[in-house]
Amino acid sequence: MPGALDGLEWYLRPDFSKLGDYKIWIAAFGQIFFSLSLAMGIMIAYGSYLPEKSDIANNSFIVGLADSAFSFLIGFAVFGTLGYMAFATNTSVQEVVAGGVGLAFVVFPQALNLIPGFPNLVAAIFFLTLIIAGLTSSISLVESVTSSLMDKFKISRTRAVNTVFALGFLGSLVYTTTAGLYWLDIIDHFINYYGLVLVALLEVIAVAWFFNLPSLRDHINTISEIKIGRWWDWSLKYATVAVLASLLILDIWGNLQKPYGDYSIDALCVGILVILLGMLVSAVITARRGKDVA
Amino acid sequence: MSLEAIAFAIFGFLILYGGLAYFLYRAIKARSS
Repeated sequence: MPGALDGLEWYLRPDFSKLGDYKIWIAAFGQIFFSLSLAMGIMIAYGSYLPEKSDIANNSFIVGLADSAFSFLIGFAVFGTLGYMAFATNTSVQEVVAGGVGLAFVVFPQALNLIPGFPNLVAAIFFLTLIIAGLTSSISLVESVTSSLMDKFKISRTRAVNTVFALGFLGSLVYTTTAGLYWLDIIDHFINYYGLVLVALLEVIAVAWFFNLPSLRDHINTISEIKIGRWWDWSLKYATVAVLASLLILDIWGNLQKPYGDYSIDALCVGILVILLGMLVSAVITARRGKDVA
Repeated sequence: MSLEAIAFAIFGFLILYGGLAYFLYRAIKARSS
């Protein structure tokens, strides 16, 4: 497709000055957290299903590298298409690039519409794959909640899944309103930026500072081929906490200077409320006496 | 495409897919032994 190489040039040409911009780092953290499903409970739920003697260290490397490798490959398709769109509309790649929901539901449909031949067929295939991607992601997202509910309250999988889906359905009705896309953008931004980094920070503090870290490392080393040294304790206790806390503080400060997406502060408060509501619900469920408690 | 972009593409593929192949090889080797 003409212009695709310009899109790839935009995707691949490094600009090392960006490494000094904290916003790039927090965006990268948000992206990799979301992509690897970290700080959402998914890894904990799926990890609990692993056989007892699974090689944790090697599996971690494989999961991390496989995820990034496929993301890198998909980037060629995305930026090639955006490059073509820029060519077809006689604009620059920078002008057609968007992130988050804007990319999938605004820019990509426009780009697919410009493809010569059978744009409707290509668009149908694209949205079909998007539905499959969404469904498979939702399975993991729902699993983290249902497995917790099943363990805590000893309820059946059917009942747990129905409860989660009913609540999810009711909560998602807000996205069907005329302002649905804006709600989705704000809530997606706050959950994926602040929510994930905040939860990861709290999880790391809980594990590194209030759990017996050397015994955890010993367990990993006993069942893994690749051995982890003392650096891992230091990394979790200080480096990860310092990096996550710094990024979170810097980004909150940046948003106070210039609100995200030029939305009003009132609208952005909804994003903060969603995070607080999530934490409140988690605290209430945790505080409730489960059937597994003796 | 510029030389920088091509170099970065090769670098990305080498690190990510090379790393993945290496750890998969180690996992397969550990399982078969």
